[in-house]
Amino acid sequence: MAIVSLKKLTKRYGNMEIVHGIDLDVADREFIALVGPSGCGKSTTLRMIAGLEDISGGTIEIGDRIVNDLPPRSRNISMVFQSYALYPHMTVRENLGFSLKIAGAPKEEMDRRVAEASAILGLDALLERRPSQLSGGQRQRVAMGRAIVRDPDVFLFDEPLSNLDAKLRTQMRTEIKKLHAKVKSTVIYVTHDQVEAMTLADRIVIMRDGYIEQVGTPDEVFQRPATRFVAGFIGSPPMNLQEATVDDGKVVFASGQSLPLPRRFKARVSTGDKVVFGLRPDDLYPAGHGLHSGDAADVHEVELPVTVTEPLGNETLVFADFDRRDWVSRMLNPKPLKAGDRIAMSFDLSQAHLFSAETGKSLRS
Amino acid sequence: MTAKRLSAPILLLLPAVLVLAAVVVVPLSLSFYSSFTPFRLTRPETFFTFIGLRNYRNILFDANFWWAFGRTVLLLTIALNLEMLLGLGLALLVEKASRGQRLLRTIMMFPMMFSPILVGFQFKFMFNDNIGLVNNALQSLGLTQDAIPWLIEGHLAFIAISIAEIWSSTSIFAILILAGLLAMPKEPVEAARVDGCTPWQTFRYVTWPFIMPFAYIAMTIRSLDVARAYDIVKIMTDGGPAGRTELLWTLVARTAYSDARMGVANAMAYFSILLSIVFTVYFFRKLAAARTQIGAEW
Amino acid sequence: MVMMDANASARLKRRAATVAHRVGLFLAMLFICLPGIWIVLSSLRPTVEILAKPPVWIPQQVSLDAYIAMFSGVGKGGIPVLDYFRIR
Repeated sequence: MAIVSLKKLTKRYGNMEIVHGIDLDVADREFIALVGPSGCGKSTTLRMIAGLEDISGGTIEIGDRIVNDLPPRSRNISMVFQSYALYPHMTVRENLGFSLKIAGAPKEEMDRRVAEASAILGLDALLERRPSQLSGGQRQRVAMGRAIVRDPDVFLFDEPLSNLDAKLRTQMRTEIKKLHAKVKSTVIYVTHDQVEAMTLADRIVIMRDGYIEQVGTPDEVFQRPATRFVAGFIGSPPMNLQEATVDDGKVVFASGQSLPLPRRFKARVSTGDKVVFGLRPDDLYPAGHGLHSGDAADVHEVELPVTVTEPLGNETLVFADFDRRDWVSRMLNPKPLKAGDRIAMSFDLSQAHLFSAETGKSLRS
Repeated sequence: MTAKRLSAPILLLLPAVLVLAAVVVVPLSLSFYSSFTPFRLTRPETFFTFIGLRNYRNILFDANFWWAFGRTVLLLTIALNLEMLLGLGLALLVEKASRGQRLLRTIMMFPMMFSPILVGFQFKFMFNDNIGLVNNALQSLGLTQDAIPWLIEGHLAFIAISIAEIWSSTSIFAILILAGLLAMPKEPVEAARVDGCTPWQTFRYVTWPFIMPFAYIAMTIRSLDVARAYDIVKIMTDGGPAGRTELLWTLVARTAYSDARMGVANAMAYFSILLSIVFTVYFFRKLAAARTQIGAEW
Repeated sequence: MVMMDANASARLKRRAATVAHRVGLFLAMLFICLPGIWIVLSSLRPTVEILAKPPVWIPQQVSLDAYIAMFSGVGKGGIPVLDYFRIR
């Protein structure tokens, strides 16, 4: 149970700087997800917190204690690895109890805690097996059990679900969430899967190229992405993003097609500004087939040709050509459509985003 | 008369089988047979006198043979244990090096490039009591004024031989254990560090079980090697002084060629092979157990 | 006396480990290389220097005598080197 605080945390390999002085405060019992594309420095950051990588600059604090140079064993953390990292020569029981044995815990306490962890994770039937006799999901469960047995200050998860198949991943995701509800401790969870981050975390940290792009609750990063990158990274299917120029109350795209400038940005941009216009698939829908919030005056209708449709049963993703590019739209209550049909599309401009084309930063206040 | 024709596979294998029989099976059976005769090279007719197990019985009561046998086992024990420890240390040192690992690996294998004969000469030169490197160094450092008779005194000669043996073959342990270290997944080690292990505990509980099979492979290879140690001893002391460094195979060679008692020598040789077999079986058992333990998939 | 915090002592320990590692590696490599180096050095010295008492550690004069002798043929203190490479 502890806070974690990173200040100007930096990692360099030779002349290559991988993590550029990031600041982050994780509250006690908070579930934080570090998310970003591969190579963004999220795993390196986690490994620095764990003490598995040296830090090149800045400080790491765990529970009011600066741990910059302490070895992992002095940090009272536990970690779940992507490849499970079980000890292959030990049974599940020995794997679970290993950290307690090292710490010199008495036999009864060890048995009790292993029994607790195994009950929480449903490992009772597997205790005498070796890791090689377990399935991927079971191994992952043992790895988590090994982490919770210790009762550490902080749990670190390094892409724990990415070696599992899609179905098992969804199932384990739910289990991790339940586990956090039960165990109630600080968790830092690294993943490249934004859905995992959104569903699990109290707050999400989106990283890119060694910088933090945005920190916020799942709602915040979805509703108010701070940068063009976050807007494109969070959400599935991704937000439609297109470069445009502001011209006298209009947003003009490269092909000459235009949309009215969303009202709330009127004061923030002026004619000639280069911007990136963003609209989520949920806010672009065939007229009458979406959920729109806000003022009806903000809905702008354009007739567009359909290029492809992807029916999903309860909804259909419609790709329509606008500004010579496919824009994704989510059609609720689907009706049959085929490529080439022209339909009236509603752009819900009250939900639109504008980013500076130069800095990528959001232009909303 | 219907001659049965040989099937194609047998026909095709026949040349190889014949050659193998000529170069392996025939000499082996001849030498095995001769171990039941009083065969002397100087008196060829003795090859045909069958004396049953008398040679073997004589060996069992031959003090010289048992001394050589005991010395070989002693050398085996000392050399294997020290090589194991040193090889492990060397492998760990090299594995931990962040730069120049390729160069270090090459240097590490340096002694393996030397033939045992050359190693023998090299160490004979270094342990020379008058001009050898070892005595020169000890005297220059002021540790002693005397010329230590390395190859002349029995115990010292045995130590010198052990050192030569260890120098030349620690690399085998080091290279095999290093292979094990490099093949080993890094995550369990990291997990152990996070789980609270000191470096020593990490090694003891995680790294060591992983590399144990590799150590046993090296043990097997080396036990066979040392059990038939010959060249280094032959060059350095030739079994001397006064037979104090006589090993099994120098004794066998001496009996066979200097004393020309081929029959007895062959009996000794067959008896000695037992030693190799015992060690091989022992280490293979250990290897199999260690492999199952880490759930090795090879 | 300066109080050392946990980080400083951990840093010190790590530095000590690095130094120990380097020293160990150096000694190990020296032990491995020494016999070979010694042989090569000896081959390049005049006999007087090899037999000298007290020993001469760093070769004072480089001499190729040994190599010349080796190739100068039987009878002149050499060995029939080339004969070893002859097939018949």
